[in-house]
Amino acid sequence: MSGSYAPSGEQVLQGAELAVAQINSQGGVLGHPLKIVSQDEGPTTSTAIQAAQILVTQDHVQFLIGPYWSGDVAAVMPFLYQHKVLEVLTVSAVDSFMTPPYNAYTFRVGEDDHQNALLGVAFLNMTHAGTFVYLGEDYLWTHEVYNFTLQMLPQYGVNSTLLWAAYYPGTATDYSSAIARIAATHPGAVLVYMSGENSVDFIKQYVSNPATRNIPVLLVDTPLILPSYAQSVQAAVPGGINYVFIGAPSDYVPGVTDKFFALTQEEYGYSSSIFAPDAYDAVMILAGAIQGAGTTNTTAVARAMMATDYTGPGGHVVFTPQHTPVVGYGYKTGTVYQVVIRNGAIYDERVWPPYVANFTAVNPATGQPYR
Amino acid sequence: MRNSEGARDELMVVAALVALGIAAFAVGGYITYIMMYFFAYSVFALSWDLLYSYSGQLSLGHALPFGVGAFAFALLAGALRLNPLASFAAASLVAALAGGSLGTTTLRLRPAYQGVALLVLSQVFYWFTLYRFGDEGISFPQVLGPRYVYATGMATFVVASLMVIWITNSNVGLRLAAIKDDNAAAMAIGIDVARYKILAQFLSAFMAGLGGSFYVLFTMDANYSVFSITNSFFPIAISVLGGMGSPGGVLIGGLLLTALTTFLPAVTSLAVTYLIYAATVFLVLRFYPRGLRNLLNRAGVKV
Amino acid sequence: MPTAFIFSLALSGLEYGLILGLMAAGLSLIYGVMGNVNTAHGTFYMLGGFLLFLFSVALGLPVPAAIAVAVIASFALGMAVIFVLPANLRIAASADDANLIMIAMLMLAIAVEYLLDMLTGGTTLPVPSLAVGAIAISHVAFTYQGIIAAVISAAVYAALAAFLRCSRIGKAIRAYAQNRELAEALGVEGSRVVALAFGIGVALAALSGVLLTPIYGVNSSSGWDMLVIAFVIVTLGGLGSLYGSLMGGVIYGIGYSLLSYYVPNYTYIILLAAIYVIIILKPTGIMGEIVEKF
Repeated sequence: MSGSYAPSGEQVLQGAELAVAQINSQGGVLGHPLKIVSQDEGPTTSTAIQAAQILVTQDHVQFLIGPYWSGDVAAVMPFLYQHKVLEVLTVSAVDSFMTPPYNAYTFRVGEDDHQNALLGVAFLNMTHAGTFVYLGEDYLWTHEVYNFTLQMLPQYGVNSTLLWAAYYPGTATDYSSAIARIAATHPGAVLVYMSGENSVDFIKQYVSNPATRNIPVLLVDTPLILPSYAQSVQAAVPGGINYVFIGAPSDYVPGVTDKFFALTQEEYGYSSSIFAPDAYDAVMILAGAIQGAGTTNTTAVARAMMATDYTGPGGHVVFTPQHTPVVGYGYKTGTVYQVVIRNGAIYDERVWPPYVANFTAVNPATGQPYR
Repeated sequence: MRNSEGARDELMVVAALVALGIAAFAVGGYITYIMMYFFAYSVFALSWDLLYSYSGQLSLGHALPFGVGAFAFALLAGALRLNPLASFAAASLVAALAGGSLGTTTLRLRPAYQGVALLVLSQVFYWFTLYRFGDEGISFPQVLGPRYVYATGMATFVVASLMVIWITNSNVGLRLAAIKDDNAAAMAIGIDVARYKILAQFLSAFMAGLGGSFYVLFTMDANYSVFSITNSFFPIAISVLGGMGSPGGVLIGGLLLTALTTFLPAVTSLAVTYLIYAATVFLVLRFYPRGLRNLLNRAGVKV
Repeated sequence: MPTAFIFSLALSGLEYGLILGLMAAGLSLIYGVMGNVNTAHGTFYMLGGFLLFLFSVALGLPVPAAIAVAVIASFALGMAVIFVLPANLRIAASADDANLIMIAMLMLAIAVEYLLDMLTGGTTLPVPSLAVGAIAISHVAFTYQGIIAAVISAAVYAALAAFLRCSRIGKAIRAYAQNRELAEALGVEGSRVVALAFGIGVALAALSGVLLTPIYGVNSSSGWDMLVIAFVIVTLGGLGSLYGSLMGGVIYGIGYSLLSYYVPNYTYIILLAAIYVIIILKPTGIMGEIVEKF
């Protein structure tokens, strides 16, 4: 929870805190109040491993809301498995982790890479882009999403051709060559999978280039959904933030999500978040499973988790045999927002899925709605 | 120079640390991890100090052999599931070969340039392993029971410390020290400078490899951050803090800095941890530029 | 069309490298005078960006004024650092001392990094620019900030060269760098020269920071990346040579721009491996003006 991914990590913690407050106000779990012990996973996998060691051997933690980073998740898995710690992942999305033996004690609640890919596919469909470019930070999850995207395009009947794909180190801040290449190859849309502040750096450079700023761009998992980041882009490039799209692998459930965001607005000052709802759901689901198992023995709780059928601010969660959430309409999909400026204020307007859309997506090049 | 009394006090320090290690194991919990980090980093620091104080060669990229040992072990024991102890030895040898031969290419450079060359080289490994193995690196399920892991760490620590103490108190040590002080004079009295420098490079790389291999043995993960600049500077900080040229001092410095960076994150934020770490080292250097060994010497422990 | 595009890319790299070269020139100057590699150099780049943000966004100064204050403050901080060190450590009399100073500076760098981390909460700061907007030349964006920054850098280079060649203080610095004992015998005061050189050196790094961070942002880990880049440029151009830093910066910038377009994943690997080979074969760099120490 330090470094350039800190704001996103903070949201995970805050979502969890809201759930804990809720549970404790209703008597806790098995008669005991729930308590959060948190540890900063730090800037490297080495610090993440150390954080896990502290939590497990010093604080005797048995239930863990997993690390934010897919790299850190992979790195701490052997240790957590050794100590039979039940881990619920709400962020790091890589499917390839969810295999035996490790997934015996690991569950994923949100942000499955199939959702991430679905967002890209939906965006390409919405924008009628005949060609697209795929950019990602160079981590496991983006490569997986890439593969899933190519698989899912024909499955959903979307006719869009990949022009080229490129991956950039997560710590990169200079995207001028990528943007120059986009300008030169002129795709119909651009998909960007960068989950930290690097996405904000990217979009600033993207919208300041006159040759690229009108090509629709989808940023998935980005902290740009928070008002402060959108404002910083607006300050750097006035008018540039208009018509940037955000993909959030967090669902919108009418009524339920609204109530949750009213709470986050009151407590933390934001009413959109990709990470808080899933963290909230993770804690609720975990508490439910512990209650159902009647014990804190992690093996028993893991079994009880499989009976989960829960709907919360992040969507409807049912686990597959691999311990991942079922992805699709009625279960987990995700949401696409368009960033717009109206009367000087910045709004994240929902444009997809159609049944939750409250705003019609507008084509940045023409200023008119898509079809 | 060194004498048998000096060696005796240094051995006392090693013995005290072994006792500490046993006590920590008896207590159990997180403190065993703190000790394991100490085993890995103290061996790493000793390897750097050996190269610098005993042959005058500066490496600002000593994370290179440490990291090579780390990845070699992860590949052999983790990915290929070969015998863990054999992998441990093999990985250290690989580190010796890689670090030693690459280090030897910088033999003729002045220390400042040598330091920068090795720094740059370690960064090549950094970016390469990041690209090749990704952010998560190579992680693998435990290959050895926790008790045996701890014992391996302790054994490695003892062997490496004894090795360095023996070298520094022997003829080899005398010759290396002569080289450090004055290349030309050493050559004048017949010491084959190049040969000893190369020997030091390989030995140092081997020891760093031991440190790296053990580090991965107990963390069960080798990732690119092992080649970071801060990791290259850590053994230097330990050596400077403890007292360059003094194995006993380096060990005490290693204990202090390892304890700081592993214990503090458990009670405070990472930012405060590193602030305290930086401030501590800075203040010690300000008031004890020759390192903690001076304090120890004044207390009667000649290291 | 492709040729124009490549040329544009190279031009963009030239602009970038020119500004980075300033930072490297600072590192070179410090080495020349102190005989010590400033491990906190990247930190001052970061500090420049941070101070610019602080003075303009937090305290409300207009951007050009905030830039000036940020650079001057960095200069003052640099001199303060030297005076905090004990007298015998200000100048590295031996290789051991050089190591000591290097570690002390490193600790400073770490402390500043985490201090900034605590103050900013780890986020990337949006540093305001002198000018907003960009033009595209053959699809490559040239921000107005970047163009202005390149022009300022060129002017500062010229000013620096003139300062070192013609001014009294500048000559004293050069004399001291070339032959310490002789300079001191002629009345040049060591401590003052070191403090001034260090101050100027880190001020140059901070200037690089105020010019580039509006384009690329700044966060608490920017320092380390910049340190390696500074090392690379100084190696290319020769430790101790200011003209070399300029040339080295330009070569680095162009190389980086082209490589990161064609082989983004291998950019640093190729650049760093090339630098290693250069050090082994020609340690004094492309125009090594050798001011050797140890």
